[in-house]
Amino acid sequence: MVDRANIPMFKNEPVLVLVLGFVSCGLYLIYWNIKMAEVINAVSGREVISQPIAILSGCCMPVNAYFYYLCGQSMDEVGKLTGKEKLADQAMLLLILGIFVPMVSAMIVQGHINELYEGRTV
Amino acid sequence: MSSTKVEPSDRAFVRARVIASGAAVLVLGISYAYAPYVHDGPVVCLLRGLVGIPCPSCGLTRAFCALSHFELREALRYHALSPLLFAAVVATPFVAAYEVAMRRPVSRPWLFSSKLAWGLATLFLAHHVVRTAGWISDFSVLDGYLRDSWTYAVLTSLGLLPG
Repeated sequence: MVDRANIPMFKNEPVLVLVLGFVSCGLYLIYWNIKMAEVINAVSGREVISQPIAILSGCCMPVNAYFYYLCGQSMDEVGKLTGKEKLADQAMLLLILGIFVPMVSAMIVQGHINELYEGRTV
Repeated sequence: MSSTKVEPSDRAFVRARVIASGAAVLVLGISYAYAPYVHDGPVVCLLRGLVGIPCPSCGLTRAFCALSHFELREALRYHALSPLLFAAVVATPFVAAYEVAMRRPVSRPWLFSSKLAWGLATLFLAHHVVRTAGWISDFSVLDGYLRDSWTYAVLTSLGLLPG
């Protein structure tokens, strides 16, 4: 299993992802996607999401839906690390939300990723 | 009769490339077929629909439709980075076929390059800042986009804004 200490730090308030996404006209989501792809790849211990392709996942349909589907699949590993087994079946939920409201999917993913850093000092 | 045993990892390797090629061909096919209707299509971008300001990838559908009909100038007008992405989509089946033939993932260093990702992100950022500034300076952000937003339509239907 992946050591939590080796996972890159990317902790944000989920609501801030939504606000910054709108305020920056979607530019923040490009940054968010690159960083999240880095974290998801580290959590999975393999290259799951391509960072160059993740750039398009900020807003571009249907790439964003696929991005969140991959994030959902990786929630299994996140759940194992945080002790929350129920996270395993989130791929379909994140895929559907990713189609209609990608920023909500981003907030959900960010919320679960934040749990990885609980008790960890920056 | 002898048969070549395919390892599970090999099968996954080939399957991934077949899916990627299929997706690329589908994107190109849809772009070609959807071109006559693209200007009448609905706003599907959440940011553009709610706020009225296009996101960094807005215009790519129209640009891909134009490129599938070899209208480069039109495509550049919709999204200046579209030829780069279109070329990547066109190249996908060929690269996948080469990888399957060679049994070697030659695209992997590109696909998982952090430097390439940040380079592309900078390019997207610069492109979006420049074109948004252009839309603001010629007022097309007001006439062409804000009035097309879902929010504007709702406020108009409620009588809060002039139609």
